[in-house]
Amino acid sequence: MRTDEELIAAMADGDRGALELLYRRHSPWLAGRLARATSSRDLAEEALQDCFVAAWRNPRSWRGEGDVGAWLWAIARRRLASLARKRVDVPSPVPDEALGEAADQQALANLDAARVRAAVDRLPSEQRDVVERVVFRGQRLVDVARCLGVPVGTLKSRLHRARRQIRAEMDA
Amino acid sequence: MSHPRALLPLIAEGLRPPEDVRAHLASCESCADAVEALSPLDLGYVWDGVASEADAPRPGVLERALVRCGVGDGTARFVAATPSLRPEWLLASAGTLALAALGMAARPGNGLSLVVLLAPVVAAALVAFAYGPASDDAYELVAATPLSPLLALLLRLAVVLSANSVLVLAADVVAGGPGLRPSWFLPMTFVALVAAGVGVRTSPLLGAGAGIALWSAAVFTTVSLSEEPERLLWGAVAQVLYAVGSVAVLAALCALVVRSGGFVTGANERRTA
Repeated sequence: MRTDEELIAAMADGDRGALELLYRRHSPWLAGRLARATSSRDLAEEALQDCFVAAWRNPRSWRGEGDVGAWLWAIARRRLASLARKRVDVPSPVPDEALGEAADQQALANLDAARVRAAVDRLPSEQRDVVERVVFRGQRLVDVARCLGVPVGTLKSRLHRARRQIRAEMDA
Repeated sequence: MSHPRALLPLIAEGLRPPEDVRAHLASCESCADAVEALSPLDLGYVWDGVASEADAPRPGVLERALVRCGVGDGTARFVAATPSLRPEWLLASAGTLALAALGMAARPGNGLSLVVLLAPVVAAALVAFAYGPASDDAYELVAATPLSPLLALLLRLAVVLSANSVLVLAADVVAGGPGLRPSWFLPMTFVALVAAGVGVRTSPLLGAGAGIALWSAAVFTTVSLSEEPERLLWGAVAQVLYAVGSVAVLAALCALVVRSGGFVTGANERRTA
């Protein structure tokens, strides 16, 4: 298994596969943080895209010190702030301190599968059912939608509400 | 490792997972699907954008500089794609002018300035190949973007004449001349515009040929007929004529482009045939 550092080195040699792997590893949590930092989904998606494009175009800007994830987050955060400055209809992003490493360390310290299960059990039944199927049983969203007879969009809304509730309980 | 199911909702909320979990996410389709379903953003859509940017050719130095100066992406790409701004064109032009400048510097005060004589010739070639469907790979941009054909024409002329002016200016200074002066700027602009006009109607080669032929005829005629060719070629009367001629040719060129909505010319028909 290649490390993040090896992926960055491969990207510097033009390895597109390394970029894809890096994206699969880091985009889920970066997306979550960006979405928490701004109320604009468009802006968050643009910042996420720009972050990986910048990493691809200039992988040598990672100087080999510290964590690759922290480097990516710094790029994404800067990009989000820059995009938000150009949009008068979007409030300024949430300060980094509220989203950064300290909050993560706390959440990881609190992390306990039993606590997550307990948080899931406390969800409303509709949300709990979708989380059970998609997250814990690994069923595909389209299959769950077909089985329950509801649109995929509705399931995504339930998942998003559930996700927020679980994170709030873990941060508490 | 086993599937880190309990972590997935937290990762989708922004928790940066440990390295082994990140590596698992990249290799386990089931967990990747689940975390994508949980994600507040459309990760597939964003990846399509990343992949498309990564696969696209990188903008060049000029395009990036123009964008940084606030020029729109499409306009910057159009300007940067000017055929006669490619390094090989600029090197050839600079080389020609440099030789003339070195020749002048080696034998100062020896008759007509070679740099000033060559300035319109180089400009005619650069401008004729700067705009038109027969030579311009970015011609489709004119049709595909809101850039108007007239603006495209003026942009290209301005950029190429500016680039050529810088080269001539440098060569003139090397040759011991005073640098920027109307004696080379106005005839250069006039001959370049004639070349552009003929080039748009016919082909870049004919356009460049027409501009160079016009200037050569003017130089040889004045040199053979007059004791003071400098005064005839670059004197006050000549400068007024160059200025009036430049305005007239530019107006005719703009009218032609506006009327045809681009390049509805013989060259265009040959290209699309």
